[in-house]
Amino acid sequence: MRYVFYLIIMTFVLVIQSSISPYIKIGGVNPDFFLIMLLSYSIIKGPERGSFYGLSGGLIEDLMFGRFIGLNSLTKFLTCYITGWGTKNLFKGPAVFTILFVFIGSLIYNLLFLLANYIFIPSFQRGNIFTFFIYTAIVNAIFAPIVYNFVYKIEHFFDYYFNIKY
Amino acid sequence: MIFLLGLLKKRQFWYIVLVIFLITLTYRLTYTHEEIFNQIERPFLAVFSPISDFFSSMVNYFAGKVTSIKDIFYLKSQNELLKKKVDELSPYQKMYYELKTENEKLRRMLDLKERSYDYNLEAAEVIGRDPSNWFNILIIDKGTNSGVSKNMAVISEDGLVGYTIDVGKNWAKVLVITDNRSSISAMIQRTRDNGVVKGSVAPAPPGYLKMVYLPMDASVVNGDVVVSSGLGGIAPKGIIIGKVEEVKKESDNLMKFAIVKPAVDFNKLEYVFVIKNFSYAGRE
Repeated sequence: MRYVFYLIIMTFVLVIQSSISPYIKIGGVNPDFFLIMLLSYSIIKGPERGSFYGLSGGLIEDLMFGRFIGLNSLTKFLTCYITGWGTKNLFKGPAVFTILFVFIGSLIYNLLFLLANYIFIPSFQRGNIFTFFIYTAIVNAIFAPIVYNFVYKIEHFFDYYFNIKY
Repeated sequence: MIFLLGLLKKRQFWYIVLVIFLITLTYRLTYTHEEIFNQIERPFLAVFSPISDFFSSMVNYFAGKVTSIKDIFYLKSQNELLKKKVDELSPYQKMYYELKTENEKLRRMLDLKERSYDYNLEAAEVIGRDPSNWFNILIIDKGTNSGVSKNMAVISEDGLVGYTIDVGKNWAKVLVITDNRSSISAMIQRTRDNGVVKGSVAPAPPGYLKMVYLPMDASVVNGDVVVSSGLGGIAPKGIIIGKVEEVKKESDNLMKFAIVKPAVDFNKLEYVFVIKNFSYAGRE
């Protein structure tokens, strides 16, 4: 049941993001709230559950905006696993840490996405990779504390609702 | 070796391997058999598109309100600018009608029928956009129920937007020309040099286009208008794509390429038109 609720939340975040993306561009780059949400979940819950939600989120994105299944599913699954595994035993208190984790997570995601593109799409070409990587990671990191807080509160509520109340 | 043996004993390692294997299998299936992917995505998007439509309309409504308030301060200066523009363009309008009449006369004398495209347009609203920074796909609220099918050109009042790549009953995915998977046959309006316009391919900055395969002797200059050439059968001839910003030689010194700024502002795109079919009246 918890998973179903999460799927609904993820779908809504993706729908809202796809609707508001032209209005929230920062220097031509969209903050990827959906990715930040998945990274935050992985930081909170660890690699296994994080990667499972990453895989589910990637599948939703593939179905909504993709031309085949695999690109977003694979990259989000691996990104969430690596991020969850890398931050497993780390202190996650201050917002600065969240910003740093999401920044590194976004860089890993971009790198994996680039590699997946070269494998999945033979005709794929992309320029200005380095600037694009850094810039999108910075934009995501700016919004990280807000999204992390949102995910943390949802987790807190779900823990209370599913584990304590019932 | 010991590390590898330790890795093979770990449950998590096999979990990752299994998932990667399953995703790769799914990718092979859906990439090579498009119909399988369509069977999976269509019910999903049938549910998603009305929700997206609702949110998109709401966002556009509020964005419109905010823009209206912001615009109040610019209206006066904008009005003056437009008046000046109208004054500048008035002689050209007269000249255009003169030349059009002359052109018709000359074509009649040469026994050529009048060239004109008869478009069958379908208006659609943009209800979703690929939120990632990697690709550029739009979702519109018209599909097979409105006669929209795959590989149809999508335009706005400013020029070419892209073409449909996937269609459901009440939705269609549009590959925008700035997407780096997009290729459109194009030509320079002034010099009639043909080439291919690709989206966001280096060295074109993100959001710009690269026109490739331009001959070395092409006299393309900055400011030249790029239009669709009609080759390939997706977009009819003469749809504005953008303006040339820069012309350079390819590294092999055999061809030229141009950086093109799209005519359409994709961030302000709310409504588009799908060219359902176009008939070419006349013979050359």
